[in-house]
Amino acid sequence: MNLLRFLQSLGKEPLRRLLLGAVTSALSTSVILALVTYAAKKIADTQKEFVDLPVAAVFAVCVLLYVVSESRMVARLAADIEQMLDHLRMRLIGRLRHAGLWQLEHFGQSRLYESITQSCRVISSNSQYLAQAMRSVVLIITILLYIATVSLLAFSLLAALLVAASLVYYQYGLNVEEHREELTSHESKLFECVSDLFDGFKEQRLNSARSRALTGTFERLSSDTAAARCEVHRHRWHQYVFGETAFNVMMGLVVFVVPSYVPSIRAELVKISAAVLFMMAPVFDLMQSLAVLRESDSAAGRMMALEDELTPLVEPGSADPPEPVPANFAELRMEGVEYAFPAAAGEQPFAIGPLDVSIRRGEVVFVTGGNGSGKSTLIKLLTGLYHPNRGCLTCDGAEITPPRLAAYRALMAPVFSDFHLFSHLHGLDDLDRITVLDLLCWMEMQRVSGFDGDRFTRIDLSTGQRKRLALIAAILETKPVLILDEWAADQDSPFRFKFYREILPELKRRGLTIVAVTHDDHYFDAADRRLHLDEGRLTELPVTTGGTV
Amino acid sequence: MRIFHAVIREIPENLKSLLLMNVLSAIAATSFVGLVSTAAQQAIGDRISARLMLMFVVTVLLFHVSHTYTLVTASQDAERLIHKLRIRLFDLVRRTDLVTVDKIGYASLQGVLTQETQVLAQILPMLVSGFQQAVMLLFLAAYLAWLSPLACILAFGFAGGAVAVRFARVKALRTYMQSAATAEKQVFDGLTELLHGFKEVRMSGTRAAGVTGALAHSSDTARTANALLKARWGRNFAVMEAMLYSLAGLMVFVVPLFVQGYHVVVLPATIAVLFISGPVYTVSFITPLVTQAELALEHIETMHEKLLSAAGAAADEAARPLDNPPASISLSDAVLSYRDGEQQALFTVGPVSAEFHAGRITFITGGNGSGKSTLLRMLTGLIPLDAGALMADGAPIATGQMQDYRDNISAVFSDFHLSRRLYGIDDLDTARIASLLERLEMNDKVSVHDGAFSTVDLSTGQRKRLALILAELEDKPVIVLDEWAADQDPHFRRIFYEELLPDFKARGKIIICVTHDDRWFHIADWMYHMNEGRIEGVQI
Repeated sequence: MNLLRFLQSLGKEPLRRLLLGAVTSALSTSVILALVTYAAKKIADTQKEFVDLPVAAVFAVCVLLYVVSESRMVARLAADIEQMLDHLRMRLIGRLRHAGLWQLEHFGQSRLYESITQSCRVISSNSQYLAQAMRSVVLIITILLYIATVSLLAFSLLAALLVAASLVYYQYGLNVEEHREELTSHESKLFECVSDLFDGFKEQRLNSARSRALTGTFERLSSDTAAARCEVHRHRWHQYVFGETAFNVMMGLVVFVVPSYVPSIRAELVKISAAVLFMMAPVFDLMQSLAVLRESDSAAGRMMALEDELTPLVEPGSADPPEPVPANFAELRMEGVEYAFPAAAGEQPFAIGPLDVSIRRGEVVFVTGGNGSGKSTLIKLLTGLYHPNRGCLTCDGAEITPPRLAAYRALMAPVFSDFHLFSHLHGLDDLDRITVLDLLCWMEMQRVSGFDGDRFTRIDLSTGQRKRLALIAAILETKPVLILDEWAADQDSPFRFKFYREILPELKRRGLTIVAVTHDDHYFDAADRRLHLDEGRLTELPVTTGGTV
Repeated sequence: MRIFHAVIREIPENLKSLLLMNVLSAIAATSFVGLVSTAAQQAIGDRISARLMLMFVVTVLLFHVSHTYTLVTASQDAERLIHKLRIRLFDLVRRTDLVTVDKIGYASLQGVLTQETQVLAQILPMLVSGFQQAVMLLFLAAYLAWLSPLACILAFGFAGGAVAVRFARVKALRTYMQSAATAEKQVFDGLTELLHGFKEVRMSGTRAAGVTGALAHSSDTARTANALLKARWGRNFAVMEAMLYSLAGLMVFVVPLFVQGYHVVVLPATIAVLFISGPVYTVSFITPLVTQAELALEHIETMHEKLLSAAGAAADEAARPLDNPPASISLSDAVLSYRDGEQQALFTVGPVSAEFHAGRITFITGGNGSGKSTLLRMLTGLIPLDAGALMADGAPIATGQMQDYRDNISAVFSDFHLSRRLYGIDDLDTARIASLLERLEMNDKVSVHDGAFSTVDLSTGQRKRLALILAELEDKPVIVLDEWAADQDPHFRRIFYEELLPDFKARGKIIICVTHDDRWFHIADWMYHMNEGRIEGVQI
């Protein structure tokens, strides 16, 4: 059980507490049963209506004891599990934070989401079932022992039947799971079709044939889904009714078969049948808990596996104490940098380099080239986010070794083409409001967004507008180097003009070093130098307007 | 009760047999209890009769068959109901115009179509079993009343109280559930920031600390909220169970005080009460779900009515076709305003007049927010005009012709959607698709199988090329492209402006392009420039 191993990571205390709670709760429950049948039998035997006050008092105490132990057990277990989840979640995030970019990009984000959010939710929302399962097990054992004291034959018959029925029941459960998986796949297709309708609403309005086909597909998928769900229900109900019937048969065994072989038991039949009735609830609880726990358990397993898998993702040197690089650098260089993307067998890997680039302080350098020529990879190499296969980065001749990476990256403020605009400007405290408002005006954003404390008041804007906010955030970081990847692509013509003719020169005047990837051949003269990439090879081209490639 | 109405209206076929089988299973369960008690008591005396045993076997079998039938059939019917609701709603949405859909909101429509139907699909079968157990309780109550009327009144009064308590507590629990869900949403959002902004996080140590700090806070909040929720839940559960135990206690510690001759029936009464605690628990668990199902159904039905009334108010747009495929389309003094809830105009485009002719390339230029995309929506008939007219070949297009007019247009909007399936393009010409893929330089990335692209998980520029292929396959007289070239590299941009557009022109299409690429303005035969919702300049 991964879950128990999981819980053990908090020490022995939680497990001990869980066991103690389960035993208390189960014992009080069995005493309740015993007292009820005892009292009923006594009334029937003495043929007098009376209330045995001491027994009633013990009954009340047991009910109270049950309530207290049960609710405490669930609450404590939940608190323990939540604490453990919190630890694990933060450990995973800690590893993530230090992961290398390339490794993370190729790790698959859906798995990370799945583990950190969904698996946590599955474990957390089902934590009570662990308590329930424990309690049910103890309770079933106690009741069976009680039956054993009354009749060994009844006990062995019932225990054997119980085990057999549980196995069949479990098998039914596996069957249900199988159909449920089928249902999930049908459902995801159905939802994809719904998304097609809404995301492509305009497109289907422009084309009746497409629209009709869409509804036809939806009808088919919907009826497939309905059929799959019916199958799941059918199997589930068969399982359920099987459980009930198995119990009924057990009851029949107790009252019709056992007495024929053990005549002495006849006087105790009421007790045993009451015990069997009483056992029904914990058995069903246990079955249900086990089904749910299987899911939690595999979630826990996935989380632990993920933790191990994230370890090799960590970038060397990332978590070590950083070493400084000269802040007043005069030159950043890429020396003989080569990088190749791993390719599938038989395919030519995309390779870039060798790149020898020198970026001197205060320069405006444009990087140009077609789609897929390696511009964004060059940016990722220059910023130290990708690690070259060969060659190195230097800052004033000092090689950027892993411990220096953090300080090296801290020289740069980037706006990537797939940039992310954070809801808060993390890491930028005590900003001068006037400066920010001035920048908002400069970017012509003062009417659509504002600034409040450490965040922009509105960020659900068009890509072009969000890029302007991202540029403001980058400028606010006051780093010596500004890196821009196709920043102007989403801007309209007038603002593009302003960007190349006013904003870039002004930033240069303020002493910023700027490396910008661009397609805007009209404005190539705004740069001091132009590096052109063609299929991963770099050439330096003269800076002139017009004619490219 | 919307559910009853919906069931009677939509799936009346099996109701009678369901009711019959349900009653049968309840009778079987009740006689099962009676038989067990009788047998247990008889056994004390002499041998058990074979007749009793036979009755027991018949009862168990009857219960098994009738119970299975009830649950399976009812669940299947419920699923049929959901299927009906789902496809009816989908078809309605599809026929609704863009304005209505915009007004109702994509998110809520999509929510109704996916989440609400999902909720119904999960809850309805549970309601079925709840109803079944409730009927069983009725018969058990009758049995208990036959044994001892007072015991029955006390037991079921108490059980009713337990259900009520549970119902009230579940409501209180919901606020805890909400705060836990909110906290978990924050963890999710924090993780999204970390993953989406990973490059930015790697670039700055202070930002990394800020992002992980925020995440640690959310994680801790989620921990507390969940633990609190579970503590509440545990108490509720324990109290509920204790009440069921007390029910049995009632039979032996309270009832004897009031009933004469109770000693005769105390054993069967106690056994009956032990037996009812299972169904009582189920019913108490399921009752609160009725509200949820009602709510989901209400959402679906309200949405249905909203769409229906919108459709009723709008004239049939598919009444009759255009006389000819259009050779020219135009807007004449057309005005359109986006309005807020109080009908205040937020943004107005127009009055604008513009003409577009076959065999002519027309560019529309203008700054961000100048109204270019709105102009395209007006021109493609996606939004009805507030004033002015949309015309084809010089004649205003009647409302009844609107769908046919739209069917003459292919468009790739800037917020286009590319679905993997090629909906509505029958008899795919594989050779033609292959040549188009090659021409748009997509043949080594994508292929078409079984009426679907092999993948659409591509860059925006590449997906736009596939969208253009779709437009080519549709081969309609009008082609509308909104900033199509913005995501293409210079090489492909050149192909677009210097090869693809002239090719469309040579084939006599009406070509309308929104563009920023001033380098290629000379390709256009006609140009409109927009500013603040109006056409400001016309260049030839």
